[in-house]
Amino acid sequence: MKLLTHNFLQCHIKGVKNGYPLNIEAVKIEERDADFDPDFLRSMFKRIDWKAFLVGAQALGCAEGLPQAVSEEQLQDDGFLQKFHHALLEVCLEEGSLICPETGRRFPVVKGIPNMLLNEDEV
Amino acid sequence: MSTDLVFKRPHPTRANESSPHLFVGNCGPKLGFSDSDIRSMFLPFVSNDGELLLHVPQGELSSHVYVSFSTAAEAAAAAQALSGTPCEAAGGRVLMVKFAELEQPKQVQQHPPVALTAEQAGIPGLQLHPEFITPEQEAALLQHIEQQPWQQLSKRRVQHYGYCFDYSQRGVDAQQRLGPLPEWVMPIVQRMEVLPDVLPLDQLTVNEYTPGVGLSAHIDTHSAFSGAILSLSLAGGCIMEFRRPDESSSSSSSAANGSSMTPTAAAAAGGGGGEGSSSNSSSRAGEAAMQHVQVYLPPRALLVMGGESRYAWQHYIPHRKADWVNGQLLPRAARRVSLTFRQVRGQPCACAFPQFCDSQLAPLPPTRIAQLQLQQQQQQQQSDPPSPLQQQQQQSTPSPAGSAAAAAAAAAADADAAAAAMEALHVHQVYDAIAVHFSATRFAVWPKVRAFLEGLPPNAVVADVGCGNGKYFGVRRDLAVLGSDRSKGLAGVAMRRLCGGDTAAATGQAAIASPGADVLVADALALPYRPQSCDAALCIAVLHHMGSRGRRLQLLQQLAALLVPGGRALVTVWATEQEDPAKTIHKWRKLNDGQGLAQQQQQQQQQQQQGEIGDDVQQQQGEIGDGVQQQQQGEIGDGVQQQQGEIGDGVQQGFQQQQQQQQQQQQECAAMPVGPDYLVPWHVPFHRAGGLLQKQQQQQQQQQQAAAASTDSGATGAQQTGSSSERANASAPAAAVAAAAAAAAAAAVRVDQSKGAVVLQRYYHLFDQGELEGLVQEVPWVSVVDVFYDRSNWCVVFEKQHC
Repeated sequence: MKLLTHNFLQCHIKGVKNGYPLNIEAVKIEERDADFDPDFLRSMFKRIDWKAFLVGAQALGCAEGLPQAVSEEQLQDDGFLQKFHHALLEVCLEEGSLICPETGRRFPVVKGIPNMLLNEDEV
Repeated sequence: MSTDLVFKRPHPTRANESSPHLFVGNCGPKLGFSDSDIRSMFLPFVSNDGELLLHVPQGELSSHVYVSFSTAAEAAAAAQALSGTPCEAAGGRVLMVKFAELEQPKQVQQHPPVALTAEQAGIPGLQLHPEFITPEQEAALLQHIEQQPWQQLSKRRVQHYGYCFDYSQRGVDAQQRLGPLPEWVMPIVQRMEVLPDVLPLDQLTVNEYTPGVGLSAHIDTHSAFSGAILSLSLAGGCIMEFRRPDESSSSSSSAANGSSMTPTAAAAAGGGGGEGSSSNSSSRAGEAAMQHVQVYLPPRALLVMGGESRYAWQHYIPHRKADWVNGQLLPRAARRVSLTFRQVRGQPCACAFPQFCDSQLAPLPPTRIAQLQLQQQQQQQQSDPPSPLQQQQQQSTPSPAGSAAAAAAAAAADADAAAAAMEALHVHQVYDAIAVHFSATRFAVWPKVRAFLEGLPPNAVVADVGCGNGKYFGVRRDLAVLGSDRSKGLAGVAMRRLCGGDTAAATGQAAIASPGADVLVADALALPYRPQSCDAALCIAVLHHMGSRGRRLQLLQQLAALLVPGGRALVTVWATEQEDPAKTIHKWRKLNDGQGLAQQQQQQQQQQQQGEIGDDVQQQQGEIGDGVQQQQQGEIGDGVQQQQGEIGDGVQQGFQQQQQQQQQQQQECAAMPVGPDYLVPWHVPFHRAGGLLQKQQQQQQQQQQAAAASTDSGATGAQQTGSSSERANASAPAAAVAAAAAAAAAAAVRVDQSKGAVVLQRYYHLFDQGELEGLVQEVPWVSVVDVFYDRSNWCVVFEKQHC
């Protein structure tokens, strides 16, 4: 699971109000090279929740150099974009859990794939 | 106008390096731009003595073009002015303009040498016997063939002898012998059977090729045929190309053992048309690791593919009208008739090429029929019948009023549980069990889906709900595709694509996933995405697996919820109106007529409680159910909709009116087209079945126990449905539903000894004409943008409205 994906996920158990962002418990992290595309990164920056992204980046150990807030200039700066790119697309959670901040429900991540299936009583 | 220059998209890391050439995405003939439209957009940036070249890479099919200026400065100005913002000259479309690179001109269009003998070809196991038959024998064979009936495929005609070749299973049904090979081929067959590697032949397929028609790349399914495969050419010749993925690129040159052939690039394979030219850059990258050999097959020559040439090399005939053969351009004859002789295999294949062997659990390469279908879809793309958009008014689901409605709601909950149990058995478990086999047959990117994706803005976020093996992850490199599937097995296959290690990717058949693609396991009825987070949603061949109308509606609501305002979803489902019913619905097991399993039960309950109304509904149901013409159905539907409109216009709050509305809803429900439910078999040959056989035995035991335990309750096998069993005991109609599901469950995993296969049954709700858009129209805050029928599917594009 990439942090890009993490940013779009929330806990969807019925009745949960504050299911975002999901906390990450990392057991195994892998890195995979991805094509660097500044346009894509700038577009995604507008789409994602930066705070949630930082939470995820911290959990995956790739938050270094990522500022609390991002300026227009930084979005044009290759150095920043490379770090953003790395954390957004190249660092993958291979084994671990996504944890609902409200209920503590754990969604397992196995072989890089989060299992977001709900139990019957959660739908 | 087109130039001889070849451009390529810029490497992402070099995208900011300026050049006089521009890649212009979201623009091209496919999207309705003419050459002059495009020129007029870029001409303002051309300096006085400069010139502008336009290059349309794929002709009519292009949704991107390249423009070339004299200087980088002009290109930079154009890029800055036109990229990323809605462009007036482009009708408000957002163009993606990036610097492009000029590809180094290829070694001047040299046609690679063509082998005329097996020695020149240098493929182990390949034999070529020129003039294997005399012109007289050739004429006689053609005459016999002409007297037999042809079966029309999408591009060529075929005849089958001995056993019928099933293109969807890419094999034969060994139990369905048509008879011995015809007398008129036996003298030739006897001469063939004494050749090395050739076993007694019992299957013959006659193919007729017209100019421009070829054969898609494939290895004949290992598990289907044993020994060598023979092809006798009559009436005309052609080039047949062979290719084999390099296992380690270093050993490739030695493998060609002394031949004069050198591996050629994809350009040679593509020729002027057909599958090669439509492949994208990523598949080219895959093909680069291929050895290619071209062999010319003259008329009357016999080609024998044995050993490595049969088991490890793909063969194909380029779809073109002429072949360059060592400096000579040979037009294809008006027809080429090829006779393919094979031996149907009685046991699993144990060849020395496990990486290509389905008996040894390798993923199968794509079927020819999949490729043929792809081509046909491309042809049909222009000729889809437009469907009128009716009724745009918003409706929400009826709010229950009174105890009758409450009871109906309770019944609906039971029915929902039954539908869920059905899906668990006949959708979730089946796909988990067949994931790898299924994935291997599902590689073709559907042109309609591709067109939908290509119409999205740059860098869009797409939820691919029911992504299967992830075949749409790489259609556009700039899309962030968030794939999800209910099946862990399929999600795993999709993940392998993300990691780039899939065998399919290695053979150049699957697009590599885009950098923003990812996959998770999720139920389409409970998606874990933030609301209003995605620009688009794909839901391809998923909705028909939902076991009740309520659940189908719920899925659509889930899609609507994740879309941003203005975001669009493409939903496709199997249609009741199958193009080839004899091969589809006539072979499937019908569960009911036109009313979903759960739906039927729910309505029964409502009828019991609502007397006269129920009778009304029943009557209407009857009328429709009795095979009334589509048109009549439409009339009934229109009438009800109109009536409802009239009532709806003057509606005030009030119990009576609510009740009235509810009646309308029910009537509409009955009058709306509703397709039938089916169980559709999926065959997994024994040698590929693995744990399935064990599972089937377990299931059988469970069934016996369940039957013994529940003979007095009347709901035989209700325990099988697990979660619904308690409810089933509590309510009689629901018990009936659960029993039906359980009975069907008995067939979830079945062994068909005669076919040598494990048979799994998948649940499908087929959609009648009008049903899908009718359902979409019930989802709040969306409007239908497009409705079309394509290759036995109903398809709808809908858009989320601005709230």
